[in-house]
Amino acid sequence: MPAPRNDRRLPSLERGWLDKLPTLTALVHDRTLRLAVTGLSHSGKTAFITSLVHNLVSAVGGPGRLPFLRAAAERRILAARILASDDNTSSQFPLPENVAALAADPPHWPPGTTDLRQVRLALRFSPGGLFGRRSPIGLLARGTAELTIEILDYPGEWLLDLPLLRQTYTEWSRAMFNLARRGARAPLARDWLEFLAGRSADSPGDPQTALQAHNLYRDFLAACRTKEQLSLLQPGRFLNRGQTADASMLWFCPVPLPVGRQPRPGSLAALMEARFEIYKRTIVQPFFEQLAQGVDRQIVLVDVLRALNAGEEAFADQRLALDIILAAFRFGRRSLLRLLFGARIDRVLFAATKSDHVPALQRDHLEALMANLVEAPTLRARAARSRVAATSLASIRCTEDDIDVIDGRKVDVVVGLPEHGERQIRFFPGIIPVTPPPSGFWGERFTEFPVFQPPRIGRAAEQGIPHINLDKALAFLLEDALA
Amino acid sequence: MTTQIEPARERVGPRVIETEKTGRLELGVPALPEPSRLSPPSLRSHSPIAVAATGIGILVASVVGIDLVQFIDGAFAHGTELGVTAAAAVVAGCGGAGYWLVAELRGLLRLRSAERLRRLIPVAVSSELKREIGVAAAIVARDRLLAEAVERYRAVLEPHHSGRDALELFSRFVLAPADRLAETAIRRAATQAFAINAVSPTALLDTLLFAARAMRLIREIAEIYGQRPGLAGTVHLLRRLISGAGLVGAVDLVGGVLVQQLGGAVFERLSASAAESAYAAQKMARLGILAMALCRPVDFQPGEIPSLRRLVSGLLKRTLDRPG
Repeated sequence: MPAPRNDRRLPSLERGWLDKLPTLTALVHDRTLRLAVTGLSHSGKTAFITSLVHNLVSAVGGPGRLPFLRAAAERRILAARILASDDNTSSQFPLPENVAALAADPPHWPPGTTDLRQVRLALRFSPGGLFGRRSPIGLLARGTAELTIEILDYPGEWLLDLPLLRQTYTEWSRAMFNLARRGARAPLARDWLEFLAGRSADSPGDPQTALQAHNLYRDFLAACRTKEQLSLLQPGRFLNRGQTADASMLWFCPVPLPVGRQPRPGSLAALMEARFEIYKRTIVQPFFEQLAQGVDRQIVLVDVLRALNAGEEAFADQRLALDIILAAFRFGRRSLLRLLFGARIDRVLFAATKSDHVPALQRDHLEALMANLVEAPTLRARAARSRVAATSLASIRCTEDDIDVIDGRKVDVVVGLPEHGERQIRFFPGIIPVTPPPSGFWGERFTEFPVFQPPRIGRAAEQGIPHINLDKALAFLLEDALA
Repeated sequence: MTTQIEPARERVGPRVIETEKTGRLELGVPALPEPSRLSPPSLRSHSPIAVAATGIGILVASVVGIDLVQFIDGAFAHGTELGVTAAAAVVAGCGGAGYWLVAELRGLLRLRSAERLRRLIPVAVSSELKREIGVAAAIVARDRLLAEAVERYRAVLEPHHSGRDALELFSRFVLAPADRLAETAIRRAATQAFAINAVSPTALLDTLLFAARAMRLIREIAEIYGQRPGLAGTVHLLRRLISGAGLVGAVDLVGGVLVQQLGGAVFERLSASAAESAYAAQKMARLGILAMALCRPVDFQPGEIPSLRRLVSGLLKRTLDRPG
């Protein structure tokens, strides 16, 4: 990561004690803002965080690639620096490695996230408005302010564990069985269901049997993801373990329990239940505390296009997964009273990612579809007086727009170089509906969703990373903090 | 609300099309090409007055032309040297007049271009809007103080930005600095209007000086927005100003309230003539804001209209703070 410019404007240690006292501007404007980047697996969290941080650094002293972020457009961002992680439980976000991946020849995508990582970015800026350089108060107060943005990166699969905190083992088990016996899941779950059919829930709690059942269930979840592109796959650590110290605590799975029956002590169901509770207590609860506590702003990244192309069931599954994940977060306007009883998220942005896979004319459709998909969480957030918006964005833009003729019709397409390919391809994403589509909409599944090679970026921070609407997203999330 | 969706079988589904083209895309920020020429004005139906004016113009041009030919012919009758001198004088005169006419026409076209963009904004499709904003940017770029702002706008505008995005960036990067320049010009003119009213010995002289300063302010503001109006452009602007009488009335009302408030708060220690001078300054500021609204290629958005109170109070502060 190249050194940010204008570091000379940051407070120097050589100054006198008087200079070290905070200015009125700093007292009013200095702030730490925790941004929750929420998204299922492959929704683009790592790319988003990399692009966000790199482009904010590139906006020091000029608009860079963020002209819609007012503080950047007005050249009020004076310096940026990456701070060391202050959290013992998470490692540093590999920003230099990710930027190097995009600057390599050929450029490649940064690897996906496998564990908890944190990035802290300090922005020194000159406030505008009442404390601006032109206002009398600004002249009197002088000085600059600092905004520290804290972002946590984590595997998207883990998010799906959050709803488990509100469920008992029997409730969860029953819900998973109902899902596994329906639709596209049923043929994939056959081996696991047949294995359990031969073993009663009341049979003795044999660890080996539990392990076998767990392995079959995990294979079923993996097949749901790779073959059917389904989203609601619990528990998330079965697909992405991270640095779980004791693997044996994961050796459980749902077992068939009749309604109203509790697992008998010493039985297979009781063994599974005990491990489920340990899993919740030692893995899910600490993760949730790290993720949701003290969050001020939230961006929810959704790969709507992939689900849309994967078919009706994948689309409905993604929607359901989003609904149950977002139910775990607390929305509400910031107030002193609420800060005393736990911070709340006062701005939520729902973003359909990979909008560079859609030509410009259809990006509004994608945005409208995104807004319609999250209608329920939006209403909940609005009822709590949070500010909510929906957008479409591409954290890293890989394509250009063009026009082609398909079946005698003139259509807008995007052009890009596929990953590991040498010849450019033209991609027509189909017609993006503005509302969740009815049954008649769904044709054949489209599974060849292209992965484009990222653009090669310069190593110099000021060049930034090309994107679509990232600056608008940042304007929504950070504008008041940089005002 | 129901959504009409094409049946799946008839719809063109998603697909990937292979091409022979190799190589990476260049996704750097491109510099927008300079629009090569101004777009022609929209066609309008011919009014009887316009037809008559054209006819009379042709008559005058013909009479002048014939007279000039006779003048040159007569000069040649007195000798070749005199004839050549007369012809050169006529060519110089015609060239000057032609240059003036072209400048007038260009000034008028720029004004019309700004007006066309304003009309287009609510209805334009993305590409059309981007093109028109490009034309407006080229016009504003002629002001040397704003050339850098236009360059910044062009540097941040990317191909994926929609027409609305381009409009917002244009407002933010180009029009905001232009508005600040215009506000400075208005403050300067208002200060002078204050002074003119204070020192003018007669009401007639006061009116004449005020009108002359107002005319200069209108032209200054037009130039800030890159329009450099000639005589025809200024007449066009004045016509538009007069046609905005409804708006003037509204601002008059605000002005009245302002004077009442100022009278209570500030002018209790000042003489009646000073209050009149302040009112003259406020009228000049009001005129300036109207001229801004007319010359801006994009209508003011809510919150962008300069506050009359701020303009006048800033002026009074400067006037009262001025030493001596």
